Amino acid sequence: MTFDSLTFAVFLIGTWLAYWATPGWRVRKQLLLVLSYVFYAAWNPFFVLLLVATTSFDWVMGRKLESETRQARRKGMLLASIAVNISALGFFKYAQFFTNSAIDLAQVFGITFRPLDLGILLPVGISFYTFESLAYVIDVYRRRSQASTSLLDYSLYVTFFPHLVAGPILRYNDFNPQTHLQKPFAETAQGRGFAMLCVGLALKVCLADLVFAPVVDAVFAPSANVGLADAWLGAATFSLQVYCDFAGYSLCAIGVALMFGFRFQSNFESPFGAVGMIDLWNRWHISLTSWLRDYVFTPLGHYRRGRLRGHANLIFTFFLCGLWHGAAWTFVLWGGVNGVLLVLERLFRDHIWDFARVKSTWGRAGLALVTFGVFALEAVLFRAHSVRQAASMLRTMLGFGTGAAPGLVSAHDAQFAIVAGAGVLLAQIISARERGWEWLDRAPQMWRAAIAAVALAAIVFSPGLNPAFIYFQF
Amino acid sequence: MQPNRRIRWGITWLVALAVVVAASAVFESLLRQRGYEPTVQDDQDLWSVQADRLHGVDSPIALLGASRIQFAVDPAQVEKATGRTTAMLAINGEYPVAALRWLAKDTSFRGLAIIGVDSRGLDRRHWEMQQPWIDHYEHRWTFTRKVHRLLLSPLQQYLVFMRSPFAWVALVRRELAGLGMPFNDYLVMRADRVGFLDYRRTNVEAIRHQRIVDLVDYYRDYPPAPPEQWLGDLTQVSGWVKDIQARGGTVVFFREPSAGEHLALDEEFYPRERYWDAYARISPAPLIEFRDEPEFSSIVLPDTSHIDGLDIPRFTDALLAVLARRGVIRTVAH
Repeated sequence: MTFDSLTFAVFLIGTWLAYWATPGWRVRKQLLLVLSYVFYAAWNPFFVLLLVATTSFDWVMGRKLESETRQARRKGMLLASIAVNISALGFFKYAQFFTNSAIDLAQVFGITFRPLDLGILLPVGISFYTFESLAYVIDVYRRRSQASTSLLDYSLYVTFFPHLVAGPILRYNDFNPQTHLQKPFAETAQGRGFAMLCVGLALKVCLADLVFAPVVDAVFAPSANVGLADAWLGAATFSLQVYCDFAGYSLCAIGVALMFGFRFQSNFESPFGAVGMIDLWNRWHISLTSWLRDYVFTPLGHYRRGRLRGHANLIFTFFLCGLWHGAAWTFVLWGGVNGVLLVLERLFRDHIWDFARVKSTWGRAGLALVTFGVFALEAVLFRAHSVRQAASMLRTMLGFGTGAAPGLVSAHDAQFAIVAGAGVLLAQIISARERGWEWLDRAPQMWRAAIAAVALAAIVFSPGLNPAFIYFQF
Repeated sequence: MQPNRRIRWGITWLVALAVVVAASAVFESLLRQRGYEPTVQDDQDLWSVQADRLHGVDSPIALLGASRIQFAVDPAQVEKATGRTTAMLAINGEYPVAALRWLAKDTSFRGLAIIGVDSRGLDRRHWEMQQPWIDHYEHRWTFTRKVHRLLLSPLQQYLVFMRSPFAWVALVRRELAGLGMPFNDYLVMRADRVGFLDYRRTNVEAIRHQRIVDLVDYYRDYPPAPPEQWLGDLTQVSGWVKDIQARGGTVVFFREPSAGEHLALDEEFYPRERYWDAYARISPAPLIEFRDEPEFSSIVLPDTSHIDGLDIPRFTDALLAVLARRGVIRTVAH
């Protein structure tokens, strides 16, 4: 049940009416939990059992971790919980990848195995809810969170439908306090929440699917013979597509949660207005990057154990970031390249020129465009079907291509994507310092109405074929 | 502070909704002034809705084929005449052998498969044409997609702009390419996937001419396999027919009408005696050839291979009469 389907519209209206009409906070939360399971069951009812099982297990482990005082036993419990969560994720998401990789590796040594199809279905959202569960048990272990006394509240933290299948990745300490008190019906939250839902949907159905996707699909087709201009156009357009798709989804999720009185942290903050890749990664998929910072990079030692070790930690963290995104070597490489780029940027800024200190508007705009170009270049690894295709395209983009004929993308598709893309970039560069969506409440009435009308019209006048959100595959 | 904000957001959304409703009304009215009519947009989800109808019922009827079945046979009329659930699974532009194979592998199917096809459509190189629809049904079709599709169809039945060619992005893209407004299709599709062609809204002569040009090009690029090879390949098709028959189901092949140059070209490249009749002699299922059935003698084919939508009831009656005469179906009295 994707946010851009009529099924979700019916589900949302029904759930919203039932939620606000139900008296009593506990009953409301129970209703929300049951309907969240219904939402999840729409993909595959059997995976609800997996979700319930892992949620219950982590809740029990959290309780035990809190009451246990012997450190060795606590450590054992933590490792058990991490092992169970990672095993589930590893089996469903990575078993096929590691099997294929092992077969490929064996072939290097002259041992040939037949390709093996394990036929494993990926439970939608498992990467997201596994990270939420891990964050919870680790925080309880570190005594930074109190263990949940209510299985209902904990289950709602993991399962609340707006964030369940594609994030944002919530933190227990942010969500849990919101489950304690009944939410008043606030029309401000309703108005802004619905506006965020509409803007998010407009980004997805209008820009990602109709404007950018045709260009991306043409350039990244497995048989495409891509020239220099098409390659850059395709890479830049894909960056914009994945932004509109995923930031659109996150915005919908945050907006829908707000309509039920819950506040989620922002997940994207004008990433293409960023100056440098470090800045960009502080604005892109914030809930994942902050998770990786808190539960991988920091425990590894951050930069506390020396510069060299810090650089290695950073690169390793981004390798994991790539692997989290997908079970393919293209994603692993993409993560690794990002880690290396971040290290290089640190070195450049420390020893040559700290461009983050540039104050002039034009200077920052120029640097934002360069940053976008770098992001687009490495995004090729994210989108390519294989490492070979990515390598070929990167060679072309860097001027070492074999001179393919131009014109893979029709001129009008290209014009449209360039104009829309320029609009998205300009908007983000201008609003780079703005955070969150509270500014909507302060905006003049007519401006707000215009934004709402444009977003609504963009959805209504964009009937399409409803392709899935890109991040559902993760 | 709170009451003021409430009022402001209420007004915001009232204004926005009013603007969008007004814009929709204006857009819809402009499209209708240009002669566009609402029609359901066919897609793999709509096909899957029909495929679902084959399950959970006794002895359903599956209408397989391409446009000559989809734009000629009314499943509601078949259902009324036979008392059996009837699903329109024909797909415009795609020959149906993959769908026959799919029904053969579906052990729950014990109904009647009426397969609209000609000798060209039975050629092995066309067997996989409908497989993407089947893959969609088997791997991507879910209850929530079904709800979405069932809600979308009524909207498309009443509003022209609810179809993807009228998305604002598609319109701007056409404008940039100098293509103007989308082709004003003379096909109106119902939610049950039957299509009504209205030849009064188009240039029949131009369509007929183009159809022949396309067919000449096709036969130049893809000459037929020799009859022996063609027949040999059909052993596999006969196997699928037998699988259905072994479960108590029925299969019938139906060579739909064509006329004029179209028929002459088909006959030149796939001579009836060496292809269709040769298979009829060994096929485990009956083969119905339109020229053998008097019921089809008065059917008019404006573009040489499709009937006008107004003739659908007459054509459906003719097909039902032939099938009843051959003992394939029994009609029920109403």
